[in-house]
Amino acid sequence: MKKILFLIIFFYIISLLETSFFIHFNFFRFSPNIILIFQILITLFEDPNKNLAIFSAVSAGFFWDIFSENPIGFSILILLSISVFLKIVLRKYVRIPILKQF
Amino acid sequence: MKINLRIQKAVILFLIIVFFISFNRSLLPKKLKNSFYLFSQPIQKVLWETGDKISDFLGTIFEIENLKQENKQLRLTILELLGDNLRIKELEKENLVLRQALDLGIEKELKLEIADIIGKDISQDSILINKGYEDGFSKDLIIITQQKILVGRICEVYENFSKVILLSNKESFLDVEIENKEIEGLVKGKGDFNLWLELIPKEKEIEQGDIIVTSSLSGIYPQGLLVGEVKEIKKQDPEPFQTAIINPFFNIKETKTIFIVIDF
Repeated sequence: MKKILFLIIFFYIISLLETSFFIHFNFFRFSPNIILIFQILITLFEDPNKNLAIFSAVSAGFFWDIFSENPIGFSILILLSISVFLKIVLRKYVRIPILKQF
Repeated sequence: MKINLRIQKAVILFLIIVFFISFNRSLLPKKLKNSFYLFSQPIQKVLWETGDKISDFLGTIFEIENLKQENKQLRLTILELLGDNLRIKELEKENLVLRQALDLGIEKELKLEIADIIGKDISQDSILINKGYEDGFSKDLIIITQQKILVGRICEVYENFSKVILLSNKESFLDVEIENKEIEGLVKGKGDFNLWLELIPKEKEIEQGDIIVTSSLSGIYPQGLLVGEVKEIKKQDPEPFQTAIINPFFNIKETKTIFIVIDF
């Protein structure tokens, strides 16, 4: 429960930074989507058999939708799909010892 | 058993999608977004200003050499403009006299409202401003800067906030003309701050550096708002029209305050 609460606050802050702070900085005219990057990293580094990344996908998607033009639910479904897909790939096909440490 | 589980998952997914679709059709998402913006506004304002200052500072460090050259160029331009300014003042006097002589009313000024930018969409090419329908704003109102540079138009209005799509948004297009050339065309947003000028007949001569301003042809935009300058011209033999890449005049990073054209 604590972890979920932390993820909600974390993605809220990340969304605020993304929309109001990081847009002033770009790398070769390219602004990276930090929400998406963090969500992918959380999915990759979490134990493939745990499901915290699914909750984080919901909170990340929710704040992405709130601070963008997207209808609510659109990014939630996209991030959920990405996370579920990565989880399946990690569970069935990937054996990276370094990832298991996290 | 496995098939049953799959059907169960498909049904759950279907129900979630139906829930989101019906939720978005109600007024709730607007109210939810508005309350989030209201709650986050002070933090966003601080973050925006801090980001602006830091990027300015870093930009200055990285661009000292460029700035030196630009400074030289600007000094020359200032001298040229001073000369132009004197000529314009003369013309202004002449114009005033002629207007009086023709008994014409002074051109109606734009009716403007001021607002601040507080955020930018992650998907880019849209911004959030701190005024909404409580301040009398409505959809499709035009946004300009202090220098009469066209920024975009309001695409969604919340209680205290409005979402503005920039000219470079893929859904944005407007009638324009090239200053002093009587050439009309269409400016289309291509996303990521890119603008293209389209539908210019091949026989018309356009050059790099030509200034593009809005045309009142469609009645949506006032005449003569600055849009950008021609950066690169593209002519292809099989196509009846030529296109050009435009360097937009608006710079969202340097703009904090914008104006909403209530009437023109």
